[in-house]
Order: sequence, then structure tokens, then C-alpha cells
Amino acid sequence: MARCLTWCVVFSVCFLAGCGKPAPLLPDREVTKPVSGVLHVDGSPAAGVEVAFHPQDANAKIKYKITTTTDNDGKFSATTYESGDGLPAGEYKVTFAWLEGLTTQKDRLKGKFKNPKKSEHSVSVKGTEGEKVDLGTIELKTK
Amino acid sequence: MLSSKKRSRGFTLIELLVVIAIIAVLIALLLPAVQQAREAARRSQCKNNLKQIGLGLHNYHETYNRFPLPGLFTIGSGAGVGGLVSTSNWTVAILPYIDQAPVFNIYNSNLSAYDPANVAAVQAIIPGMICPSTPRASNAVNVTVPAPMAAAIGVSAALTLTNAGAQDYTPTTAVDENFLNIVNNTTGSVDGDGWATGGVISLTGTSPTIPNGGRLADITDGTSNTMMIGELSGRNQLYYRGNKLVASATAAGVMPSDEAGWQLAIGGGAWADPFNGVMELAGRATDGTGNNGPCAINCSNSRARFGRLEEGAGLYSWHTGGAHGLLGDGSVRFLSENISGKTLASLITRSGGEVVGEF
Repeated sequence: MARCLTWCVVFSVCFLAGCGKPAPLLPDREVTKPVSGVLHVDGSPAAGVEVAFHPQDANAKIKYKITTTTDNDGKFSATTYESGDGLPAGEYKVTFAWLEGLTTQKDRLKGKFKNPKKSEHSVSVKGTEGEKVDLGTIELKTK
Repeated sequence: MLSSKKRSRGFTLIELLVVIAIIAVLIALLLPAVQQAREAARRSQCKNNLKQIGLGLHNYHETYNRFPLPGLFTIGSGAGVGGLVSTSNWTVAILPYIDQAPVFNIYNSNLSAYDPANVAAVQAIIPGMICPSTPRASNAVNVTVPAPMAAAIGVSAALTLTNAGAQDYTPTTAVDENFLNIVNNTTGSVDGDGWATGGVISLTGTSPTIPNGGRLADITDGTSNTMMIGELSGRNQLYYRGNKLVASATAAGVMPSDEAGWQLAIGGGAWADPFNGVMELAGRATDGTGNNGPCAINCSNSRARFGRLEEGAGLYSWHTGGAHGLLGDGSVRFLSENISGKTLASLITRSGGEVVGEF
């Protein structure tokens, strides 16, 4: 009888073994390192500015621009797959666009910081263990 | 002899325990199955609603030789709420074809959905527009577009809908260039047009937007390769992967300060809401946040990105593993949340010329 009980337990464990976490979305992700900073325009924190990271390496795995938006304190952190997960290793040019209006899409920075080819702001992610890139406070001057 | 006879009668404690344990295991296996059967029933109904919408759209096409405009604002001056003369959207247009003629008859199409004269019609709850899997406190939704937001589309007063009938389906009207950049891993893509776009008719002569598409003939990718309507459930509340976000409080008449507040205003959660006529797929990060990203199904139910009128998250439902989409040929498909973004984008564009493949 004790043997029967043992078998019962073994069986139930087998059934329960199937229950587990489902596979995560997008399993083949690049390894990313957090990149963050604070954006000031003409001396004060700017909210709602779109910050774009344009990959510069010819053989970068990700070729599209990765964008994020500054919060009410002007803080931003790059997001590739998940909120604030950062960027894969590589060189990036950083551009800024502060769009106003829902339909007009006029840039309050007058398009001065929009072109990745002319951008003076860049970031380099090496991809080393535990790396965290802090861009500090970026000051933009529109005047 | 006597003792063995006595022993054969009845069960020992261990035997009873084993039987009880087996029964317990069986019940434990069965109970979740009951819940799954209930969800399967809701999912079927949700799918059938989309099928009926598809038939309604095709009946409309039979009558008018084009599909309805997904969304339309007629903006003038003087007449209507803040100069918004009238609004329309695809749901209003197909009402007579989905057995809702009584609602259509009391809805005055010469006025906007926000007009006080249309309150009774707008408050009608249309079960065919609600996915039963969606958890909701009430099928009546409240919408307030604060004055500064309304001003951005040329309307000079706040727009409100009170206890309006809910809506879980959205037309897939475009694909955002950034989403195409991400799924094709490239730069410099341009927005892809969906089966039709709505428009803004401006009676004051300022920048009207001209609707395009909308006829079967415009769908050159083939109707069985072009998506028309998809699930975007749970609006006007904002959800990130099943978690509801609460809008931070703002004073009346002020722009919302976060995406949840944005969704409350122009999430398009009511069937009469003309904002439900636009859903430009932009994708989101896998946790539902971000401006755009690789996840387009079940990550966020945002219809418009914070600060924009468009750039929605994609499709969203409470079904495990995906969401339903209605194709132009009237078939309804369950789209897995692991579907390649490239395939989804190809499905939404009407004349992209892509080979869609299996999905």
C-alpha cells in the first residue's frame, strides 16, 4: 500500500512538472546596457523631448534608430526591448526633437538637433559586464 | 477463516486515502479546464463579433461601392460643439448592416457624436462591438477631450461623451515608419497605408486631410492579405500587459500629463467616438512602454502615443497568446503574439506588395 502511495505522489509530480513560466517574448535579443541622462533646454529640464540613438557601426546588429522620450524632470533612459534596458554595444549619434502640437509636429528646437550627421552628441556602449552609461546633463541651447 | 472474511469487508484507511488523493488529482486537473472552456466560449463570441463586423463592412461596400470611412471630422465654425459640425466613423456607418438600425435611426449624422442631440444614440450599448473577454466595470465609457487637446484639431470647446457604449475593435489604418524600421531592421522607411484612412473636412478652408483607400479595388495586396479590423480591448483605460495604469490627476481643462490620461481622452473606447477611426501601428517595448518597439500584440492597448493623435501600440486582447484580426475577405484570424512584426505590417498595408506568407 505504501508503494501505491509513492506511485501516486510520483504521478502527481509528473503532472505538475508541465506547469511553468511561458517563454519570454522576443527570445533572441541583443545584450543591452543601460544608458541614461538628463536633458536641459536653455537651462531648464525639458519634458516630452524625443531622444533618438542612431547606430553608427556599419555591422551593427540593430540598424534602426532607438528612441525614448524625456519625462517631466527631463530624465531619459534608452529603451530597446523593455523600459530602460539600454542599448546594445556600439557607437551611436544622439539627436533630439521637441515636437509640439498634435498635428503640426513643429520642432521647438527648430530642427537644430535633429540631424544625426550633424549631431555633436554621441554615446559609446562597450558592452562590458555591469556597464552603465550615464550621459549626465545634456544642455541644449536654442538661442 | 473467520478472520479472513472479516478482513475482506470494508477498506483500510490507506486505501481510502489513495482513492481520495486520486479524486483530488482528477479534480485539480479538471477545474482549470472548466475556466478555460469559459474563456474559449468568450473567445468564440469575440471572434464571431468580428465576423459580423466583416459582413457589415462588405454589405456597406455592396451599397456604396466603398468601405466606410474609418473616421471623419467635419470642422467648420459656429455650428456644433466648438465648431465641430459632424463626425462619423466606421461603426456608425455599418450600424444598419449589423442589425442596429434602430440606433442608426436615432443617431443624427449631421451632428457630431459629442453633440447633446446624439446622447441617446451614443449611449446605446452594442454587444457586437464588445469583446466578452475584456474585463470592465461597466460597458459605458466616459470620454473627455480637454479644450487644449480639442484646439489642436481645430475645435474650440472641450468634447465629452457620457456613458457611451463601449468598443473593443479598431480599424488598422496604417503602419508607422518607425515600426517598419524596427521590423525590417533598416532606416528611412515610410508610413504604410492600411485599407483606408479617414479624414478631416475643414469648412473654414484650413488644411483638410483627404481620405484615401477604402474601395476593394484599392486593396491591391489582396483582401485575404489585408487586415481591416483588429481587437484593441479595454479602452479608454490604458493597460500594459494586463496591468491597468491610472492617469495622474490634472485640473479640468488641462492637457493630460501621461499616457493613461491621453488614452482617457482620445483612446476611442466608445463606438461613436470618431477617434476610434485611426489606429496607426507603431508597436511598443515588450513591457508596453516606450514610443515604438518590436511588440505589437498584447503589450499595450494605447491607441495614440502620449503627445500624438496616432501611433498606437497595435492589437490588444485578454486572450492568452494573441488577438483576433479581421481580414478583408471576411475571415477572422487569431494572430499569435509571437507573429513576426514584418508579417503583421504586411497584413496591415493594403498595397505594399509584400509576400505575406504563413501566419
